[in-house]
Amino acid sequence: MSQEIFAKLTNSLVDGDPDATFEATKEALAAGIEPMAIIKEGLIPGMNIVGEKFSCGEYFLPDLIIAADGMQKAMVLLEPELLKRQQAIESAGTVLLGTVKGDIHEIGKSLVGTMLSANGFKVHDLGVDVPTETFIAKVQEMKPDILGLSALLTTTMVMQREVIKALAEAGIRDQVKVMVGGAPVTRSWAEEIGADGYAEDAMGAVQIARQLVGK
Amino acid sequence: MTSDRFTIHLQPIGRRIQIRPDQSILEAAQLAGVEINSVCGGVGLCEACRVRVIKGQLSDPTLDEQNAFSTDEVRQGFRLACQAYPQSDVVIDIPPESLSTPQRLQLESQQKSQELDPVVRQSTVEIQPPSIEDLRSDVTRLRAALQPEAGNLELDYCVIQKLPGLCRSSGWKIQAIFHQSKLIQILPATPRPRILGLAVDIGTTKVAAYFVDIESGGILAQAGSMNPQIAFGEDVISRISYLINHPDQRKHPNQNLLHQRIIEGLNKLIDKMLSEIADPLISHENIVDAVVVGNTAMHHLFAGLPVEQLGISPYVPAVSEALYIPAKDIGLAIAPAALVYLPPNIAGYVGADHVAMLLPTIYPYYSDSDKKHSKVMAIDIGTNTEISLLNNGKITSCSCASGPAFEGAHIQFGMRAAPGAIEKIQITPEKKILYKTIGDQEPVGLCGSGILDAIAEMYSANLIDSKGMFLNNHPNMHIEGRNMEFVLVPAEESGHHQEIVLTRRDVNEIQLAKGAIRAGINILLAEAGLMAQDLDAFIIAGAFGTYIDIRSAMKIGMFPFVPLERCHQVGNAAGAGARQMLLSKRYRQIASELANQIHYIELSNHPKFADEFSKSLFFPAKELSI
Repeated sequence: MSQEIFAKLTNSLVDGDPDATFEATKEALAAGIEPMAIIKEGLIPGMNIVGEKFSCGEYFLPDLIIAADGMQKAMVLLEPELLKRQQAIESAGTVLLGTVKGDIHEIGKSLVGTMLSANGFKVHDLGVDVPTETFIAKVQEMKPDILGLSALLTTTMVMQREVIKALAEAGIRDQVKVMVGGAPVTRSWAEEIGADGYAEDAMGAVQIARQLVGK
Repeated sequence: MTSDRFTIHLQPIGRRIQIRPDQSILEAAQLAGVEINSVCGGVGLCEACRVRVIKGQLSDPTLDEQNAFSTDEVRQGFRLACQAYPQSDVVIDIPPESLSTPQRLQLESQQKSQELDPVVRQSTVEIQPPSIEDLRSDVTRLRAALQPEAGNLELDYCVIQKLPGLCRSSGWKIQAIFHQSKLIQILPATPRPRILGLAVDIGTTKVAAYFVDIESGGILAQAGSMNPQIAFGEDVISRISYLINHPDQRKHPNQNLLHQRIIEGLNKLIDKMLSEIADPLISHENIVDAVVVGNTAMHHLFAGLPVEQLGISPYVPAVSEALYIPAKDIGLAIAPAALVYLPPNIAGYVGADHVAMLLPTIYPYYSDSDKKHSKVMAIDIGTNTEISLLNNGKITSCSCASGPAFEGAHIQFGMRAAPGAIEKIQITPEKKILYKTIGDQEPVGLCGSGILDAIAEMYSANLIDSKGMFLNNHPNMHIEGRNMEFVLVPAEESGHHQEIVLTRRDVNEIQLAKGAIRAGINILLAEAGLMAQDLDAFIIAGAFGTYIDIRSAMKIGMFPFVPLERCHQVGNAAGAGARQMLLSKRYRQIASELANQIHYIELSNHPKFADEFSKSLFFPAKELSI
């Protein structure tokens, strides 16, 4: 029975049908399956297949966005259940994530967040238009392994440099690895501003994050 | 010996320019007025500014360049103009594909009967000549002659400069041209001069200009060109970031290169139209009024206003009310005291061009008590797509970042609508591929309408599935691992003897663009509690919108299904609206009323946007018969 529901969850993500993911999650909870099992046996395998298909060029950004949408819809149902059981998802590392000040682009940053979560990272998403001071304060408070900075505009990517500078000024630059990304961001930009990691897309971000926490 | 300036020879154009070692080859081209393609605004990302060094020493290739070129190309001297800095005098070859090309421009737009109530009017004035008994100044004489008609006459300084000469050469009979109560121009009275107005639509990519006879309302000439600012980046954000990265350009917003280029470009169009009219009695001096519309960034750059704040959220314009700027203050080559009218802007990304577009599209419904309760959507597709919805007598607008894919950017064989571009494609039930090119020349690429057709037809013919995946159902379909492409034109039929293909990646770009547009449409409809089928009219404006096959746009889900008889493709509505404002005071008031009344919805942080966007990325079910 539960195998069937897990397959349904996995397939709904691979087929890009977020409403089906949502329904299958409801069904799984109603059938008494533990939320952690739903995530580990149903959702994560689905996201991994989508990620692999994306990496090998079979899937494209729309497929990834839609799968992430399904994953998020499922998590809306699962998170309260996890809280009730006082369970936390095992973590490969913690990532603090946000889009820099002056930039309100959400989708790319959230996609990276979802793919990192699906791969076992604990992700704190600070949202969009995040002031530099907030990044600094949150790094000090949460002590994440990785800070991810997204910028989608050539006019706002300069803020990535500002955040890295501010980390140094606050004396905490060596306490956190910084990853940068976003449409106008390039590898040479990442090197120029002294970021620790850069990836072209959400799947690349997962690999880089793994490398960064592996030390 | 080190030098602080190097000479850059730009071939095959033959321009030379001196630059400092910290200025890139792209900047050299921009300073020399040579329009090299630059999509990303010079950050080494788009790889559009490929040039070849023929002689001389440049800085070492950057990482971005090493990624952009094969080792063979590096050996041949290929570089990205934005990443290469001179270390000696150099000779640079700019390959044709890196130059902005001449295009087909869209000027024609539906001409509706026009009310005539212009802001500018002329009247003949007979001035009492001076004598030894009458030593009053020329201006005092002019005031006396105008007395009954204009009590508090305001005189422009330029008019005073011209007055003594003109009075004496024209027998003290002159033609006075007024803007409201201000005297802005004087001309010889015989023969009675024709007075012209200039209407301009400044698009991010294209510029359209018209001469209108202010007294008859007729169009005397029209001309179009590429927006010369393209050399500084293909989209608005790239151009703004050019200014952010060049503080020296920012000190005087009315002197920066982007402002100068657009003014120069418009002056060229004015000269071109004057030489087309070829009437010795019509010169720059006869152009006594102007209306200029554009998106908020184009508006600000034209007006010489700072734009940096438009590049950063919350995207606030410097000014949103209507402006009048004396032509001489910005160097526009028309009568120097003519007042250039810039209609109001709505928001950071919805500018006066959209207000102008509403005048001939939604306003006729809005203003008619019988039609006021019609439900009308008007959409202007471009790099930014603006959409407005009339419902219950109220107008709501939004702007979607649809990107330049429909202009051919980021599409392997994409190109702008120029000769040789495939503009229509059909796949027959026998799976034979038929196409038509602009100018019926040998095909070299695909323009926006062709790309849209190709995807819609491939979807209908079961060559791609609803997710955009390529299916191996046709001999022209080549699927090898990651490489998925469909051959539209075999090498032997094309103008460059290469296959013209559509790739999976191209389809992906269009999915993202059409997803953004459809999400905008859906959110406007949802906020109004409407379904697409409720629309009484669906109006598609703009160049791309004029040439597309609406059925293709519906098949791929860019547009919702609206019965075809309710869809109207109206051409350059922003240009038509600008002409209406040129000829009618009332329309200028209406523009301000509309701009104040419109409710603007910001999409980028709208709670439903991500969901609507992701729902709109795939292709809709085919059962919908169109």
